[in-house]
Amino acid sequence: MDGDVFSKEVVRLWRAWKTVHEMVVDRGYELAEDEVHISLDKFRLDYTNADGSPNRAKMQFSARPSEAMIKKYTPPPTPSNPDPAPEVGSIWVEFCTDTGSVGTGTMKKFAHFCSANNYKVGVFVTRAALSPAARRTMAAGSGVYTTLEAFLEEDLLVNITKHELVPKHNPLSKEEKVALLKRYHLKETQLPRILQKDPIARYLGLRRGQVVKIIRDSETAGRYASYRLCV
Amino acid sequence: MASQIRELKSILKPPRSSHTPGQKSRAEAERIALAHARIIQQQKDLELTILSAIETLSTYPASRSPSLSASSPSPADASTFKSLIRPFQPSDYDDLVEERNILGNCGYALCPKPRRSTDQMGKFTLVNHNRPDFAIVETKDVAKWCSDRCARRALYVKVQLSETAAWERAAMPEVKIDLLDEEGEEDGMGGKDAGLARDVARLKLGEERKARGDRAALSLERGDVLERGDEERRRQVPLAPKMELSIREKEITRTAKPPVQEGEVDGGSVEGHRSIFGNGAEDDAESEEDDHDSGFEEERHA
Repeated sequence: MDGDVFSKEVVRLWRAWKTVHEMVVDRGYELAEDEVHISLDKFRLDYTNADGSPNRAKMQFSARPSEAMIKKYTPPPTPSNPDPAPEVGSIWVEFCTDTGSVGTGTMKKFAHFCSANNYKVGVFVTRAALSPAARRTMAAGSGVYTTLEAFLEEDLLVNITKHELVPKHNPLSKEEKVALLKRYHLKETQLPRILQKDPIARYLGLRRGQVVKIIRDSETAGRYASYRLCV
Repeated sequence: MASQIRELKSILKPPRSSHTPGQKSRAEAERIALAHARIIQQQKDLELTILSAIETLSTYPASRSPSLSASSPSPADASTFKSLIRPFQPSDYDDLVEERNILGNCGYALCPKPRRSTDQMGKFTLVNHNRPDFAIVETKDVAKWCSDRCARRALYVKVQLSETAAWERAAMPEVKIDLLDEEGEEDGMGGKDAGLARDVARLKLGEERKARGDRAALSLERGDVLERGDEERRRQVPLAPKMELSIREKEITRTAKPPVQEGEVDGGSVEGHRSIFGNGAEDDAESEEDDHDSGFEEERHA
């Protein structure tokens, strides 16, 4: 009976754990296959205490960007900057151990950890909502170098990109964006928009100004691509 | 052929250059952009100040000892609290209360006690037993504080905060925060005379503050630079793009005369217009008479 108390929570956590790994891979970071598709038994073995309760303190990992991702996020060389540095770095994912809502102190510690270890992106998965002050700390902590993101465990139970009604979203690189604008004689602001807080934009970690290509199935045209600017 | 086409006149209206406010010089544009950037920067600075104040106050009181309590906090803590809370809006204050509750403290920043535990309570609770203001409220609202007394103290501070955002307060008087217990103590000690003296002092202070506010509003309108603290003084934040102000007197050519009404003086006209009934001059005169004392006329006809 004791195991039952936690089994529901463990299964939920396992699903969130899987989704967050898929998210990291979908963004273009490198992760091993067996890290992403972990079985429930293996998860139980690795991330639960002796009494069957989940051990969130152990649930954290980092990932490095793949070659393709580095290439995508490297701005095109200019005469003044012939060898530009890529705008991506490693990502850090951590599950919050706080039971109640997350306060400024916890968030500050997380922000400090991310910037101290030179992580470019920090993903914080929490059980309860952030307090307003913590949200503001997060916004203030997302400075020039580190970007902080927070997700609820609840929101990660299913991978939204796998839903049949969600079309494929593909972020464009800077060069592709320039080519697109030139091809259609557009200004940036003339593109349709997608909000930064849009679930898919959050999933892909879109930044302001990035363009995402959305490929839908169409009855008449087979496939239909549209572009949206992240604002 | 190509050149011919180019020479053809467009049927569209030429773009009106007078419509757009002219090409601004590069320096001018840069100056305006900088002025706006500084305003935004100042706003951000203030937001950060508020955030750090919330952080500081979430673990208050700084000095804890058995002799100190929410009703008699250490003077240093009380004055820091009052100064830190000044730029807050009521919503920021709510954030502070929530932040303190997350840490398990009573929502009132000068109270050293932990907040009430909700373990034994249901979703709703009764407050103010056997009193006219008895109410049934949600437990989570009651559990923000350690006691009803603290709730009163905290809300007493909240209602004094200004709804205006801190960066828009340039021309407004400084927010003055009183603590609930200070008031009570003073009343207890001084009696009526002290209360009167305090009221007079407050009135004077109010006048001074109003005068200061008026001056600030005027300088804001003129586009002077804002000088609030040392830091700002160094940066010199212009509040609005500075405008050229020149006062011109109108030339006086003759002496002033009171307006005279044109036309007849005995009335019957509305601003010089005489309404005409019927189509002849006689009718006109008759109807005029009718108008004057119609009731009398009617009686005679009858």
